[in-house]
Amino acid sequence: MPEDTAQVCVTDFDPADVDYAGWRERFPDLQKQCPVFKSTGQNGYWVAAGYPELTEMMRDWETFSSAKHWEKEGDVPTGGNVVPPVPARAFIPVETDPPKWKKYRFLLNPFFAPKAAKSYTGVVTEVATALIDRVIEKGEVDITRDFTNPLTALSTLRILGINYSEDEWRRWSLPFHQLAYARGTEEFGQCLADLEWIRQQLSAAVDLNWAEQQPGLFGTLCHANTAEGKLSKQELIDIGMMVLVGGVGTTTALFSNTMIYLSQDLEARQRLIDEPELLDKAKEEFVRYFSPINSQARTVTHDTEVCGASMKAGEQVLMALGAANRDERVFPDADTVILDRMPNPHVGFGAGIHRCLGSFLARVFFEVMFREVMTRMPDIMVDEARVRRFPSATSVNGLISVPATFTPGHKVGSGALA
Amino acid sequence: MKVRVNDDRCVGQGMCRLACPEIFELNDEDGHAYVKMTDVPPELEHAVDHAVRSCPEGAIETY
Repeated sequence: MPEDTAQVCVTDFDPADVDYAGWRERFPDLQKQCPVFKSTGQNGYWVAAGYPELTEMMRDWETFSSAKHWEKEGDVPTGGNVVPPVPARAFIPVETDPPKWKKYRFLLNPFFAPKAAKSYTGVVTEVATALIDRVIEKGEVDITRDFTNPLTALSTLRILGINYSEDEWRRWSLPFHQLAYARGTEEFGQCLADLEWIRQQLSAAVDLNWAEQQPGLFGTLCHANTAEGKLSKQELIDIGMMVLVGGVGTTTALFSNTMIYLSQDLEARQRLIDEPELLDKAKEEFVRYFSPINSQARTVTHDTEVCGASMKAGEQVLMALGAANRDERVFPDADTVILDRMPNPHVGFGAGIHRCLGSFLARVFFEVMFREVMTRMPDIMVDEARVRRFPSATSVNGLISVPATFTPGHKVGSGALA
Repeated sequence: MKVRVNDDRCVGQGMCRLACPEIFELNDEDGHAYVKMTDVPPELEHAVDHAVRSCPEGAIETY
């Protein structure tokens, strides 16, 4: 790492508890002064904000662990992906380290590799079509509530092959969003209770699949053979939770943010319509620019020194992906969206062994959403004054409500969701 | 110019294929990259350079 950046800053800026405006305003200066700094918030933790420093640390999983430790009510949680640790079970495999990580990740990889991800295009398009049918005649839509949230939740459930009833989808989706922003509020208690409800549904799905295998990814996992035999019910539930949390929160934030942006920069919007081949590079640029997952935490396994910072075993490090993605040393004009930016080594999908399992599926989700919305609601405009962001932008750069209007059109199907 | 993917570093970010699909492909098992040809034709050198500089893992090596 460069010697000239060896300088440790201590700040009361607490990125683990900060809103969108605070994140965007405070980070750039701190990042320039200190690519790795210490926050006095949350009883103290490290923040890696510089791109080269962050990528090197995230590659070093032996020093910077993802493992989460929490079994049951009353336990003190340690480790995991969030600062401070949440009293909930580990998401598998993202909150595990090798060798455990390898067992799960190798099992899951083929179902999320590029070819498999592409094969889900039809399912996602069906859900998108139905959701647009429900609003197309009204001429107004809440992009997050009526489109991106249900689309990602329902598509993910269909891919898993888990049954849901039409009026139930919000229960499958909302707690994962609240998990990202409702920390420390009254909502959080309800959120943990709803997560428990989802665990119970997954538990019932395991029983169903063990009795008779159902179509879909979850059924396949219930009968999969690993080097250590079949997965336990607990492992299957923890994996199901991870696929849901990954599928639901992230692409929602990406597409909602993109639509807000494309309601401001109409020139960019026209270019994407005129030059559809641009979308492949543009979607990576949107992932960089909006960084739907703003940060991921790691825990130091042994005393170490990074950029002059002496880190002690047990301390948490917030890997500020959103800040690294705006590091001017790597991304010229980092605060500008350049649709065909190249090179673009963004870390919007993380870095190192925990690279987002669903990254190829996220790209499919985004392509379908963009194509369906731009085809059926080409003049859609977000009413920015009524946009509501997550109160916390720490882990997910997410939206609660994104109202928009467009010229009404016609249904092409029944709009049925289940 | 020749190019290879360092398998110890590649985690399947997929950016090399975006930068230069003529050379890089991603496998169906885990999305990790491989090269379809080792020798880089002169007209693709620029795109391969973009692939090198687009990999957050530093997994694309020219020699």
